[in-house]
Amino acid sequence: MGSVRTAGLSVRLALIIVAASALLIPAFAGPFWVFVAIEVVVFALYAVTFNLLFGFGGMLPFGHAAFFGLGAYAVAVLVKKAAWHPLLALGAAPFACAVAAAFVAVFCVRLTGIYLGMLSFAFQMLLYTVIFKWYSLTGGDDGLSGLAVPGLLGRPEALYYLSLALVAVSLAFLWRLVHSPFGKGLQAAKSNPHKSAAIGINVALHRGIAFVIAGAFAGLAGALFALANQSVFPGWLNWTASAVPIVMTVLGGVHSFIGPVIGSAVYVVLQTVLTGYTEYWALILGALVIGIVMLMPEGIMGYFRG
Amino acid sequence: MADPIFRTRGLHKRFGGLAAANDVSFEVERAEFRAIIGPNGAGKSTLFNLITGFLRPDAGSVLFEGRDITGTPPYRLFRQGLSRTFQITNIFTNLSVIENVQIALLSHHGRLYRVLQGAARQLRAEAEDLLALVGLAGNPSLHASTLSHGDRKKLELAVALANQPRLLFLDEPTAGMAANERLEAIRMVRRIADERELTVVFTEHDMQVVFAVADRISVLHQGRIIAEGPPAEVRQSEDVQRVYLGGVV
Repeated sequence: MGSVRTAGLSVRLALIIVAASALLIPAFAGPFWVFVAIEVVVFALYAVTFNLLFGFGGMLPFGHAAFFGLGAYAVAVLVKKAAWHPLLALGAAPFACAVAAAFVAVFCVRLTGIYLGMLSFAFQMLLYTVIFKWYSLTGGDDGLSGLAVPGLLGRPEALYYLSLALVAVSLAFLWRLVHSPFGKGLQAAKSNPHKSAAIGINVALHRGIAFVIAGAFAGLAGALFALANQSVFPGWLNWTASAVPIVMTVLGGVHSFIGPVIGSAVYVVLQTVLTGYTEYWALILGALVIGIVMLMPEGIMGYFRG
Repeated sequence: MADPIFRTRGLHKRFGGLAAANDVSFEVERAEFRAIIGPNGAGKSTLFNLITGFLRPDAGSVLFEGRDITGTPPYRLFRQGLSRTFQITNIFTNLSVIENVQIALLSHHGRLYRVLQGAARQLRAEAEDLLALVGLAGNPSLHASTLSHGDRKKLELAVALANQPRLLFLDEPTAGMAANERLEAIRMVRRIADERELTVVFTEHDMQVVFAVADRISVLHQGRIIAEGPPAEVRQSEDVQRVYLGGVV
């Protein structure tokens, strides 16, 4: 028990250091790096929602970007076409994504492995096509822009603190969820669906609820990203976009709650720095992913936990 | 029979051309310790899966305490006081030993959908009691994947007892154990069953184990029950001897 307590202490210390540096970023960094910091924070939440399904639920949805993109477009359409206040639209987006995720979940949760992955991918492509083609509502290929949050809250620092606060609360909730009876049931269903059913777990329902929660919070991440960019683009829910949370999760560590957060920071910062030097940044990222998978299969977090 | 807790009526299940269950009707009395024996491929596991909701019968019905439970999904049966283990040991290897028991207890207590409280401290004492009951000593915080085969079997039993079942199906509870461990293991199950007035139906290959503890024995061959009765009677049955010794129908 002693080692557990020391581990708890060092975790708490690390959390304090991370929180302090996160709070101080706008004081030392210019608007460009503040924007990068928003991206890290937002994608951290997005990647954690993916890993709720993958690392804890044993589902590999290849189309998770659908909910990130839908959250972003929900904000954009509500602001541009229904004249909602951006912050009100931000609040509504996760609910829209929860409804969409519930619909997709009905079809997906009884499937496993590649079949679940492909069906979620199919729903994503469906949504992508609708958004790409429905020019009058979504702006098609051009996306929608001019989503500035009015007033002081529209400043990059303010958007950063808003994102940081919402993501921190969301991550705290998801951390609680993973360690709750519900979360343990989800992990049991991942490990052994038959045994789970034999001890009274309604595996399909359990997975479905996780799917809805992951979809809602991925939508919140997308909505925040839309406000930070003041615009949305259909590429955010194209099929390549679904690889991003997967790569972040693999980088940071699948079997760790915080792994995808680390993965997001590494991915976003690396991409930002590398694009300054070469347009072939993806080549270096690819090599890094190969290295991680070969040398640290449990990701960065897994490596440091021994 | 005076008070059957459980009965099947005319269970049929075909897999292609194979009749895995062929008109299986049997009943089990309350607090009975019943063995189901039969050669490999006789249909024992299929029968268990038909009864416990993992397979849907083509025809026939299953009654538990007078209620028709045919086709009821397994997770509901657990909540109704029926429990089972699997032939191939089935534990949650990504959870700790005590978490394996805790999750079953949380399920039994209807707490599976709580999302805002930690699971670690819940029902811990009850879980420890169950581990002690099946004789699983050692650190309960260890990953279940570190357990030896025999200890996994014990853990599976503790998990299966978490819903305080009235009816328990054990599919080869001593599979993979050394010969000298088997008798000890099944006697422990019998002791627990007697203490709790628990009805147990188990499959078993080791005849020494079966004859040592079973109240009654049902003999399954090619999806049919070909003999049934107390051990002494079944041992004498010519049909049973033919199936086991000669392999002729």
